Amino acid sequence: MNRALHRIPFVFVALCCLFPILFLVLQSAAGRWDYPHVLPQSFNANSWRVIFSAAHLGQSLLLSLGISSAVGVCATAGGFLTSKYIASHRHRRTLLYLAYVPFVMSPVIFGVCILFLFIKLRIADHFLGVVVGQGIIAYGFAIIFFARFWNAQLRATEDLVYTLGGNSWDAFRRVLVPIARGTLLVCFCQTFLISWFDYALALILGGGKIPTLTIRLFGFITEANMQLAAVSGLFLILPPIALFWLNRKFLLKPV
Amino acid sequence: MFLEVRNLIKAFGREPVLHHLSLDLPEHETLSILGRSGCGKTTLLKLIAGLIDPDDGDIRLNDTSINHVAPQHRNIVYLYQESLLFSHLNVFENVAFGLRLRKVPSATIAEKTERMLEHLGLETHRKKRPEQLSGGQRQRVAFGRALIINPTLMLLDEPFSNLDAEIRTQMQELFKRVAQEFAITAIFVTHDLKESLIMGDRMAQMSGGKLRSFSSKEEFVNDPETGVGAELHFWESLKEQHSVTIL
Repeated sequence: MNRALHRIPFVFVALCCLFPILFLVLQSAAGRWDYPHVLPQSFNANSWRVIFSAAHLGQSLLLSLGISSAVGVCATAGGFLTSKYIASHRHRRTLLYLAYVPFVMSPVIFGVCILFLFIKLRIADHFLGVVVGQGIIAYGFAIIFFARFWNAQLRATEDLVYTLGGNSWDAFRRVLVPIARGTLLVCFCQTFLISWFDYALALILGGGKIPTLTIRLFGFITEANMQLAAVSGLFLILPPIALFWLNRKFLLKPV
Repeated sequence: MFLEVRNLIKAFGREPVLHHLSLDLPEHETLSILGRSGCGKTTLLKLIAGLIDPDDGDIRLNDTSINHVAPQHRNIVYLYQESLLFSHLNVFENVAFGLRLRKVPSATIAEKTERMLEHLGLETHRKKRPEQLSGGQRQRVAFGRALIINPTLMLLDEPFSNLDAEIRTQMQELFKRVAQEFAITAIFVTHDLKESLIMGDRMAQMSGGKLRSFSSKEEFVNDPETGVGAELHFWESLKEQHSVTIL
């Protein structure tokens, strides 16, 4: 009895976390669902068929994966190196403070502001423009993410490699990157998601010519068809769930 | 003289840390430097290792100035308070690390590393990860990792301060044995009076960024500023009190 009582908070928290996904699954397969029924009266796969028959959906999926992967890789690598530089800089606090600036502006304002520059640079309405735009936001995030990683012990470890006969490249390749592997993967997941769920920047900087999965699926959502919206939502969250599942070892590591 | 440090000056911003510091160390000897926290001991070791640059002064090893030699070319190993084992490598790979950096053939690495592990009593732990080892075992691995590259000079920055009393004594004995067998030249800094006396062939005391060398252990023991007299007085008075209580 006591054991069962102890499980109640765990089950409650788990249900609260999983409720949005479970509800989307239920809604996506709902057929007839009239008021005041709490649960659907019938189930079918019509909404799934509509989504899978949508034109260019596969192409959008690949495009989104390409953009998000590029943003994730560049922001993680850039953030890792920059935060290392900042960690040993005498104006460390000021530089870290500046990394928050992209977050002060909402993506819409930020997108509108840099659109003019991107037009001049001829990267607006282009894959590269969307990657750079989203990358700026993700880069700031990655710098802040790694700020605490470069602690005194890690600096001492790096120094130790030098006294053992290694150069900067040895320290980086043989020690720092392997030690940071889990943290790098978590940062990649986070920056990938910043890009994956972005709607405003892809719309403004892509000018409608870069139809990412988010943009295409938001189209279904705005049709006010709840079943279709639910399938779209599920479609959007599946890649991030897969990413989290693959990196569960690092994400579930005790802090 | 094997190691000569002359008029070393170092400041961090406006805060002076070392003032015209000089020291000499002959080959195959260990210099114990006793000093409180914040007296500049770590800064001195980092300057000798080449991890930070001096503002002025000269560091000479075997009659050659090493002021402008990069740390990876000095062959001076710095051992920290913490073992700083590489968490992604097992015991064998941690010890073999310096040899891998030097691109030594694999067969030689295997042979030398196995020999070092046996020497330090770590042969049964070769496949363990650092987190599976005790504090003393971790420090032994750190020793092995430093010794295997046959360093010209070893700098030990209170390497046993995080260990409990029993393990600390074992590690002190191990270091004395290894220092003799490998003919090591070392600087051992500590804030522990007893440890400084056990570890050093030569003695020095550091205070306020200045170093005072002693010509012998006797001079060190008899000097009122080292604190040996006060320590002896404490134990003697405790012994007397104890005797009176028993009587």
